[in-house]
Amino acid sequence: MTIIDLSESSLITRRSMLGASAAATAAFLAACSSAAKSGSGGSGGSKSTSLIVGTTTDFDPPDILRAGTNTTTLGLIFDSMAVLDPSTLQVQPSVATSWSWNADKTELTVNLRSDVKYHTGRAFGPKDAIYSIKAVQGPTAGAQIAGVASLIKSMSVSGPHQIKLTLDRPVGSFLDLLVMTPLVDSATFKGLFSGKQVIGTGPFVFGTWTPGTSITLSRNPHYWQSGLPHLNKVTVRIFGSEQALVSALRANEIGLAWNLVPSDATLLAKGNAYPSVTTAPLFSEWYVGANVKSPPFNNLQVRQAVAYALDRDRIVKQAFAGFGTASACPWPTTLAGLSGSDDTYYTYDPDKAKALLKQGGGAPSQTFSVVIGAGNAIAESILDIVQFNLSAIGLKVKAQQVQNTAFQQQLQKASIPGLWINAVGQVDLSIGAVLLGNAPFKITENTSNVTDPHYVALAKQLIYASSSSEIASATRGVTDYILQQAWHMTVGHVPTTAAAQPSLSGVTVNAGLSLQLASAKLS
Amino acid sequence: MPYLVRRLIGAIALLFVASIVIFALLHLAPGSPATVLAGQDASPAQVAAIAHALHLDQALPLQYWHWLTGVLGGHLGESYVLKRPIGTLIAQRLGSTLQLMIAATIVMSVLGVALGVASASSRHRLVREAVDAVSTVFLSAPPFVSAVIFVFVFAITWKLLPAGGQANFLSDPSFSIQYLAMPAVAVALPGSAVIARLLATEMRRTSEQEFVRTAVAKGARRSRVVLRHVLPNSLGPAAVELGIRVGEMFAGAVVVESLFARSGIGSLLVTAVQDRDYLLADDLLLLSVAFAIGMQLLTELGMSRLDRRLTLEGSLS
Amino acid sequence: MSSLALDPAVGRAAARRRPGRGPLQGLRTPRGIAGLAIVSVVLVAGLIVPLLLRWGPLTQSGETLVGAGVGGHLLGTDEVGRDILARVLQGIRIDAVLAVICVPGAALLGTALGMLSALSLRAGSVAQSVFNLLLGFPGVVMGIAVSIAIAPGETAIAVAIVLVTIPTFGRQARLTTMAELSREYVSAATVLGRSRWAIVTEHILPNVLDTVIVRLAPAVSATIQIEGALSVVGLGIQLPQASLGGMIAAGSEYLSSSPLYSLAPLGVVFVLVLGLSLVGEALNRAMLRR
Repeated sequence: MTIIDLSESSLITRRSMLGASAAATAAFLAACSSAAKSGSGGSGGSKSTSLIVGTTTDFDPPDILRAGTNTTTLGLIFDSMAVLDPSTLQVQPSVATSWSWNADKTELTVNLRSDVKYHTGRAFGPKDAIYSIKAVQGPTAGAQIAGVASLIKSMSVSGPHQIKLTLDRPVGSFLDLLVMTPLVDSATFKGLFSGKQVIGTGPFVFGTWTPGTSITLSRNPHYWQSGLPHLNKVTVRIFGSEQALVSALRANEIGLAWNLVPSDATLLAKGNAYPSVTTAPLFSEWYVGANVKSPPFNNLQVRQAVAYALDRDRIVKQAFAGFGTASACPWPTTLAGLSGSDDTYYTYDPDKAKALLKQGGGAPSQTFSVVIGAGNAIAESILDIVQFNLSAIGLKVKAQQVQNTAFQQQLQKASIPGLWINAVGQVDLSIGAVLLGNAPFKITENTSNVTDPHYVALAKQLIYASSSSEIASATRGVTDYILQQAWHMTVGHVPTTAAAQPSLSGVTVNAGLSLQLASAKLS
Repeated sequence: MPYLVRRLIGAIALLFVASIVIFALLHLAPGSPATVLAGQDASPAQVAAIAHALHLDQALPLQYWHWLTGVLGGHLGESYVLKRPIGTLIAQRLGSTLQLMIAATIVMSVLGVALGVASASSRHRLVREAVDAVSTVFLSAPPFVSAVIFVFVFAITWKLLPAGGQANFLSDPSFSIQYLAMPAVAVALPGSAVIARLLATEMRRTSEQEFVRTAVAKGARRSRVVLRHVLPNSLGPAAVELGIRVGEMFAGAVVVESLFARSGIGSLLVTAVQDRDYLLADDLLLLSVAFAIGMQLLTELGMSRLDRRLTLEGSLS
Repeated sequence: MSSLALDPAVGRAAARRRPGRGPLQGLRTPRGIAGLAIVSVVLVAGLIVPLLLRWGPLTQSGETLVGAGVGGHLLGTDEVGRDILARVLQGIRIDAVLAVICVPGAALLGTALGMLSALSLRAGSVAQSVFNLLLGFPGVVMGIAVSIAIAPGETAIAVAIVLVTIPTFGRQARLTTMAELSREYVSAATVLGRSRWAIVTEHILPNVLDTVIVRLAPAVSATIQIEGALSVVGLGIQLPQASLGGMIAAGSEYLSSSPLYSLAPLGVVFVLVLGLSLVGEALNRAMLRR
């Protein structure tokens, strides 16, 4: 079939078209700056006072009271009454200047600073402290500290800068409340959860929020720590992927990459190119949980067999990219009452695991599933390894990724039919608070369906312990029980990881309110 | 045109059915926004308290009615999980998706037309084969395949373009184009190959027709013949295909948005469905279905006008 | 994938149809042979090569993310020490099984429904609406919706693929049948007294089947794409099974340090889709050339 021949036409020849477009493209690329290379305001340049922080999770106002996942902006906008010193693990004053217990430790008197102002200019007073505590008590707030806060019998203003909190009986971990309660503004609380008015007392003032893209914060000129903050402006940029976040740090587009996946932090820290910011004492404790009401995990020996079958070192090396520590103990063994041998209570011993299975009546014939919430890379790697380990000792295991919300529901209802893998964010250090607030350990309705009165008694001993020797021995008691009963099998601890440009200094971390930039500066 | 009216009514009825399916699907799935808001450490009682506060324990038909009347009245509601007006959420994300859709459409059209014209108009078999080979390669590259290759080549190996992200076109046009380059091309490639093929086929067919031969015989310049006569009459099927592709782009760019870390409608939809954010997910799904159905209607209309021999109600009688 | 413009071409070709020459002749052309060869090589590799390897796709080890050739791993290992080559081959098998199970059945069912709907006016609009409803959900969105109702995994992916394939073939069959029905030779045959059934089977069905054959290859490549896309958003084939899409998604985290993790399965997807495209084109051309 004949076609019209265009090759001789006077149409713009293909060659000239290509030439023109190539020239245009080259000119365009030369003219505009490269988004790949240049910093769009990063931390380059000397003595800059503007910092860009990169992270992968967006600002989530309803999360403010939970103090759990919203770790990037919380500590910039809000203060708490006390802070946990990361090196000494002691509770130190912040907005509260001092506190004291009465003789039988049922009444705490807290003295507050007089020079603290909200970002609106309104002065902070004792009524606001009580309001904030009431906010975390709220049933719809989902605050981790709610368990501790629920033990308060009454609260009152006892002076122009003083409040009194009374309890029924002494609670050892009560000071956690001062660390974990963000001080919110009663006058603007209605606008808080929608992100319209986010008012706190912290070093930076909430500016604009473009959901999914960025949050801008500016220096609080009336901050109660005089001379601070050094930075004039902080921008939190949200990245859709780890890859993009890492590239941005490498390209000098951001000054701090917060909450990285461990393997990336390891890569970046190689050769100390980007110093990693440690976030101890904050860490996530990854564990394998068992439902003690669901066969075969109602059998203690089966559970202990699983505990011995787990290759914790390989999990740390592969799932955590080496950035973390293997441990069989849910909390740091440096706590009073515990010792280093608790970390290795269970070691990788497949033979012992097989022997225990035999003792317990042989390997069960039915297939059971190990469940994780879909989409978490660390959980997936751990699941791969755990499934492999358990098959190796003769258990019929099926790996199951459950859609996230369905997984959360199963956790809330404690209805997982076998084993699961999850993490507990250990943002507070008092085990008492953990026993009150974290579902895997709670004394009522815990995720493993443990209802043994012995556990409840041991836990209560710790929750209500007051002297340090009581706390130490109660810690020993509860930990012994949890380790021996093997319904919560810790595999390792992973700190929250971050990496910074070498020019950034003064970044600290506060248990509860996380990232702190009050003392940060760029050189 | 009674046919058009009937099709329109049919489309509206279809949307209505779709709305019921969408609503039922999400509500029958395990979990609710209260699950997500309560957090992992909550007890079922706490979850129930949150559900009650959000009126999620009302009868389902009643909730459906509230939603439907709301949408019809223009009130899209507030997201349960994100606690912000849904209209605002969509508007913020829409910019990013529109950027990608427009850029991809431009690339698809330009590339498709260029390849199609080149294939149909060249006398040299080698050139035709080369263009065909190129379009076969384009056709074989699903967006997520091209996306990863582009990132590897242009962002990691030769650090020319950013690996991910987005910028506002109105405030930062040069940056926004750099962020768009790879995702737009990744989305556009397969479609451009199909468009090129369709265009080339039609152009070959058209140039066989009498009126074209007549024009040439009358002494008209070949380029004028092509531009004035052949090309415009050959655009039909290609335009139809373009319409279909654009219709699918709306929420279907999810994968590309995810790989390039762009926050658009697609990723908003995925998150909303994952978090059981009922109102938001329902609104977005309905929007996506409405857009696709709308594009289908347009393309069917276009197709029926192109091929007059195709009666739209053929039957044996 | 949904190329409606086949329809006018089909219409023209139908009147000139010569028995004995169908699109399958296209498999003898260089394009067709090349496409078939590529697809066969990949499939055979997926079946045979695992027998030659030292380890299976699920065998974990302590050698994390090693590079190509290290420790006998031709393509390196993934983040839990599994051999990438073994996993890529398993991915090929899984995608092949998925395609074989889902596509032919869905294609035939969709085609049957589409043809029937063109023959009856009432059923027609119902079928058209159902097709449009299903087609209104883009592939990935369909997959997400299905994996909400059923747990994410192979079953959900299979159901999603079927739900996406049926309307595509259905709409094509319906339009083709309607185009045929308006041909003059059909009215001629009716006047001559041929039964409806005879007209359908003798004239319309072969033309419809031609379009089905042509569309099979693109449908299979769409299967691979849907599986891949769902894995990228985290709702794909379950651990620890390997899937091509899942590996591409998981490997994109390590693109700068261990690129083979993503690029190996990516190359396989590309080659497979290329082979299928070549086959599809060859068939299409053969059909149009008649």
